[in-house]
Amino acid sequence: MKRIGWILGGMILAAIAFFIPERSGYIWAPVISAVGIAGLFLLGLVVYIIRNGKSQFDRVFGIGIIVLLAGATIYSGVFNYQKAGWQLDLLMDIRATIEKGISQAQSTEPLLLSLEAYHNQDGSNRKAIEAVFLERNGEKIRTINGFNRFIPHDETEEHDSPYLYYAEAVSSDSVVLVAQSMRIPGRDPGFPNYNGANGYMQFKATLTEGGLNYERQN
Amino acid sequence: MKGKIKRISALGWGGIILAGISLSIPIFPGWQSFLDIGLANPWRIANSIATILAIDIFSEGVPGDAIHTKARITALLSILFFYILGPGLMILFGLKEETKAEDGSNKLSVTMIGFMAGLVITISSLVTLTIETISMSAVHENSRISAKKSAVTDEVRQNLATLASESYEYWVLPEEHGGGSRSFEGLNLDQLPAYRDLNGTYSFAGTPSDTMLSITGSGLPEFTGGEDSSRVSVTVQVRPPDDIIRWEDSR
Repeated sequence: MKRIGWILGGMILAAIAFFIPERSGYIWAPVISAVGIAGLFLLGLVVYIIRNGKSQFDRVFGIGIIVLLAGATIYSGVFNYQKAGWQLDLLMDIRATIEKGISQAQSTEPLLLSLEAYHNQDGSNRKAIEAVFLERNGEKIRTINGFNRFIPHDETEEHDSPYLYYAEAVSSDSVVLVAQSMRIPGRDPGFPNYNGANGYMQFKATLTEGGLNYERQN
Repeated sequence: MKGKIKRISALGWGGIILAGISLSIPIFPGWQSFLDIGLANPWRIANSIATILAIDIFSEGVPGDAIHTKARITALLSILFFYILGPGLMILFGLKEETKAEDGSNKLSVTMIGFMAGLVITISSLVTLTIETISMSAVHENSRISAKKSAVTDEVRQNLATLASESYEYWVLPEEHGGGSRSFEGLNLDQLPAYRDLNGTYSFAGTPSDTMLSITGSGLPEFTGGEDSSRVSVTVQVRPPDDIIRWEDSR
């Protein structure tokens, strides 16, 4: 009965250790915490074996099994923890790659096509580059939450990150589009983003009659 | 403990090992679902939940609020069985003095049953933690290789998109702005500003003409040790005035 009591006591303590950090919602903390308590229980068993083992065989067999269990736990725990971190990093890298591609494609294409239209104008009655851009893309600019969003034709207002903004140009000789991620961190966590947030990846495409300048701002 | 181990017949050992393995690996269909305790590697369960949260962050930007109750309970039960119940029964009952049955028969005592149950669970925990992790390591290595190859392909595509945009810009711009005045003739890669900083190998496929330019890019993933069969290769076409980027089949 005493032995059952020890086992039940160990199980209850491990369960408590599991449920205390469980409230945080982070899965590794409950598992590590409960296995930590279980480790103390196994350590107690080692002491029990040393004190109560009736032969060398008992000690070697009992402690050997516990050492094997501890080794397997470290191997499996470290592997799975590292794998989970690797998967998160990989998914974020993929997301960043996707957003970089979308930012570049959706901001440079309308600007380059406008550049082509600008330089293809007749000699008389030439329009400024901003006017050419707005003539071709004016309906894609919508004011949402106080910002001039540039919404590509195949997107809805609820489209996913990155967001494109039509920035008011300093003169009619240039057009500026800003592509800002809503979730991928940029290089500088304190960077002031176009929409007032801080630290997200952001690109800026500036079109003048001399060409397109596409740069990563953060 | 030695006496109890000797008491178990060869057939008994076979049954214990089979039961231990079947708790870890579903040898008998329905066995685990019948028990519905779903003993499993708690570390793998934690990894699975972490993966679901990572996918949430990937698609929604924030982790989802699903609690994954069943998975968490399975993780807890597995910890209790694998690390406490199994070794506890095996050691505490294995080292206990065994009293003979009152009628002198060879019936299994509670102590012996407890010891054998402990052996079954401990074997199950060792099998689950080691064999499953070893097999997952092999799968994981393949995933890592595949991810590295995809990353190189993505980088080459991204770089080609930049080169295609700059080539298009060259085609559009008049000579006084350093362009080709609606022609790719005379263009070489060194004239494209992005070319200097790119990883990978890039070249024009064919001779640049007035109306079309093909650019091929290739990269070698670092794990290949230089094997050219692993090289990824992508080609993009620029067809002004309407097509800035048109991808061709890649490998």
